[in-house]
Amino acid sequence: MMKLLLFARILILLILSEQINAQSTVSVGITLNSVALLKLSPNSNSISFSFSTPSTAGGAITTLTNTSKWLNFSSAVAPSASRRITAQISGGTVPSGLQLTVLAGTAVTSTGTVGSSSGTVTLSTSSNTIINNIGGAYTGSGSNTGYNLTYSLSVSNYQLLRSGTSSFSVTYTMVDN
Amino acid sequence: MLKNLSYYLIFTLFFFVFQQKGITQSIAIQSGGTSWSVTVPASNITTAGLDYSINMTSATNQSLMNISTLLTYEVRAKKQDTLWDSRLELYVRKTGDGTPVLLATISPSGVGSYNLLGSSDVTLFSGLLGRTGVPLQYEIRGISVVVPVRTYSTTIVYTFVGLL
Repeated sequence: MMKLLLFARILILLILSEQINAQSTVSVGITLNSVALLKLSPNSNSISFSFSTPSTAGGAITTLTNTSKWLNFSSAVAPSASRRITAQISGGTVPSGLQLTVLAGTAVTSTGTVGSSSGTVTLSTSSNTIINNIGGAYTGSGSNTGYNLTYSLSVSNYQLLRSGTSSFSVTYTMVDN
Repeated sequence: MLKNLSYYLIFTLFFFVFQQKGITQSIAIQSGGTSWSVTVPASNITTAGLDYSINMTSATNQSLMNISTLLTYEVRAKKQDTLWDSRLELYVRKTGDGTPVLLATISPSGVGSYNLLGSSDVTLFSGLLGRTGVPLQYEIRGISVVVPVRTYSTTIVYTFVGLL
């Protein structure tokens, strides 16, 4: 009788301790696409420079600056890929005797691999890199976020200066490296 | 004689229980719901400078699960990554109760909460006796431009655990 009880107890323990497992699977996939969006904030409206006459004969013409524009971008890239932002003069030329430079400062309130500034770049009709090594990143939208642009217009050659008004554009492009 | 009869009865009970369990314990995803893949629309980013503001969510009945059992049970889930970025979060929840066999119960009933899937099992729901067509919904969160561009894939493993 004792053997019978022991046998029954073993069986009960076996049954109670057993868990029946079965499995089924579902595959899940998600595709992220490339993103390259760029804009100027607060807007793309024109900015104007107007040199003032020197206060005294023989005085230099003071360099003009403007820091009202910000570059905002969103960038999604493949692994190990990167991008750059270039700037070039289009729709006209900088008047003779003048030099226009742009400096992209340090990115603020931005997330991800936002790249780095190339420092002060003299603008021409050829494209020049102003920010490089951008990866997956977003700067936020609007002023006071992203890269602040500092334009500086200075006299490079007084001999070539002529009075008058000129207009031209600066085109920014985000390109793959 | 009585002793032999007792052995016989116990063996009979033993084989009956195990035979039943062997036959009836199963979990299955109905065909058509064994995969879910999505492409994140870049148009979701409405202006330069912004990140995605989107979670990718499947249909509420993306997968339908059949459970066959004579026992109480738990359904657990985890994911096994093929290629996945840790910033992407995969969630699953039940959105209904399916069709029960007589006297079957399920908990929680109705729409459940989203469960974040990882490499370890999380319990989605539990119940007593089988049912068919338990609807499951998936959601991927953490979508961002900072996640490298590519196609990511993982496998959700549902485990049925029968409990006496």
